[in-house]
Amino acid sequence: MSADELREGWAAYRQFVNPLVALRAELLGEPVKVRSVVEGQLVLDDATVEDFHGTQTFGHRNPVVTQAVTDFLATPQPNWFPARVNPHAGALAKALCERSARTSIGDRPAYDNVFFAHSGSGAVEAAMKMARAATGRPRVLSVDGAYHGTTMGSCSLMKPGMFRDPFGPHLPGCGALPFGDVDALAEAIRANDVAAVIMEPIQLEGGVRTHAPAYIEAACELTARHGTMLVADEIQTGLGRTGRFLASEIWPRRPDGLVLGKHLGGGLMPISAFLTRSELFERAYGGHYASAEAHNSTFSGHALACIAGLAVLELLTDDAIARVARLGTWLRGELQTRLSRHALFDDLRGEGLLVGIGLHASDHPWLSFEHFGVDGLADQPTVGVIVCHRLYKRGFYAFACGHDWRILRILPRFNIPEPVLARFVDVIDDEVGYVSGLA
Amino acid sequence: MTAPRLAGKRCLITGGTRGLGLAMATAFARHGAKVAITYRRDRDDAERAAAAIAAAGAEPPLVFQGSVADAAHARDTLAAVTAAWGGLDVLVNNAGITQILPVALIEEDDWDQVMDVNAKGAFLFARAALKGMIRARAGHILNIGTFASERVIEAPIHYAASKAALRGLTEALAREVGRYGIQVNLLAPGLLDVGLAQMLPKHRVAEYVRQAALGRVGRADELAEIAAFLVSDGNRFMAGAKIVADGGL
Repeated sequence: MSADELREGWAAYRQFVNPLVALRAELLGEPVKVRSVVEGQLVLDDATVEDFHGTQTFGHRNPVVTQAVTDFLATPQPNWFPARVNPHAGALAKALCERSARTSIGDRPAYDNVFFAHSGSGAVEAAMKMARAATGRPRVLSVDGAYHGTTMGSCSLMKPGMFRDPFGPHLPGCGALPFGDVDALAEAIRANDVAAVIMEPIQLEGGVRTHAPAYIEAACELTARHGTMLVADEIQTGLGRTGRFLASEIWPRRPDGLVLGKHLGGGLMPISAFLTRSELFERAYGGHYASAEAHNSTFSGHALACIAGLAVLELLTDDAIARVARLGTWLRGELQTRLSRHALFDDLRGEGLLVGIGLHASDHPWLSFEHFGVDGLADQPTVGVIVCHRLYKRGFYAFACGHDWRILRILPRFNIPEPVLARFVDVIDDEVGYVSGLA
Repeated sequence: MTAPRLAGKRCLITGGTRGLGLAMATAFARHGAKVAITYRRDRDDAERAAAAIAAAGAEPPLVFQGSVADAAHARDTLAAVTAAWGGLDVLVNNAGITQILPVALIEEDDWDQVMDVNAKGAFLFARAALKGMIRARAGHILNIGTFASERVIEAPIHYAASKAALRGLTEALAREVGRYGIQVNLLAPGLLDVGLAQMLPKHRVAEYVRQAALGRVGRADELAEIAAFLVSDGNRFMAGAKIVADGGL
């Protein structure tokens, strides 16, 4: 892409898509001059950017995924089949079910039915609808701090705030359980009217918060006892991110439903999946032919996306996942040692290469959004955004968590070269130190 | 008897060992202030200045050596002042340099050096000082400019540009931190009996005297008194102001 094409594209985005997103990117100095990719990194005119957002888990334009998609396009095969029976969707569904059965604590088959969507939100929507249809119950509960998506149903499970508040009234029967409160969970589902409890093994946007083992145990036991579907939203934690294929694969009971997304399409294709048991599918949609596609999506499981998904599963070898665990342990150790010296550092969170860096909010007026002249954010801490802004300038693209801006979410690609990760430790050490000096 | 104008005020003056800087330091001390000064190189000058300031006030000044264009020097100086006094009430960005050169002879390095000391130095010290001042929601920052950036006169362009930058800094910073009760102002002296006038050819000084309404160059101690007022509690309503004290040029 030429510089002129990039500039024109930005201008068009600003005018026709979302002017505030374009403005924010420019104000924050986010990488706005990216025109190409080299060895998984974004390349600017005179620098490279390592992307920690988490969607490009094998690096931007991974050659294996790119080749698989390219090879498919070189064939005369259809991408979409009018019968809706797409052989590539079948292949990917089978592969996902088989791979998810093989866990770090032995074989634990759990899923034999898959619905494909195009986004995490779409897969969560599929889970909510199936839970209601299968159980005949009205209520769907999340855990406070959740981020399950932005469609109307998934949004109804969202933590209150800017992602949820403008869109009321929300879906009836939806609500959130207090985080970590076993008694509240027990009380909420006691009446046997809850179709599903949907929870993230680690709440990413909620601040990289991990549930206590006792809460997981209670969720597994109580949902089973009351006939409530337990759904693990592993859009962020799944597919190797925590150093296991699935974060929930070691739960006392495999969840009844599993949501995957994000890098399932290898960063090239938008695809997500809702995995469950065929018995539940039958209960929900198996009554007669008319209900077979009661929940569907035109491009669900189209070939290109599934080809990319199969390539991702090829990349997700046991060795690759073991590397995630090993690098994650190393990274957390280094960050703990280095960042503990800085006043702003609070704590370290997460598992594998899903890392949360907790910072203390500064009460210094000159580090407030009010001082920066940004309306509507007076109560939000700035430190996470400031550190991200400085990281951009040093070649690392990271975000603060959507629901808790004190927490930086660091999701390196699985094949990140170790020297790059080591450099990141040096850089964030500098930058947290610098911002600590301002706070 | 009225209290001294700057009684108990904790004041830091950059470039405080000579010329107008020293005049302000001694005047502030005489007005009851605690005084800290910085200097770049000359230790003998610094020792003489410290003695003069101590004689004018109640206690010896804090003295720091370094370049104002060095961020670490600014940070360390403010840390030391804060450690010694618990805070800072007044910062005077006085340190400045010039070279009497026509445009053709100004090298790129000359430009950078003058801009670094005169403009960036003020930014670095202001930034370091503001962290505490904003917390305290009070403070004065006085930037020392020059009539050369306010009048169409012969002046080295890099010097005039750097001081014009300082005026811009003053106005924008006053706007940004005024909400915390911090006043940022600029004092732009004309030719004085110290500093730039010593470097000019005699005919240029004579021309200045001929043009000035008061018919003379200024005295450092006169400007120091104006500065003392500007950073005192007597001045509660000036912000982003440019005070030109040039004898009526």
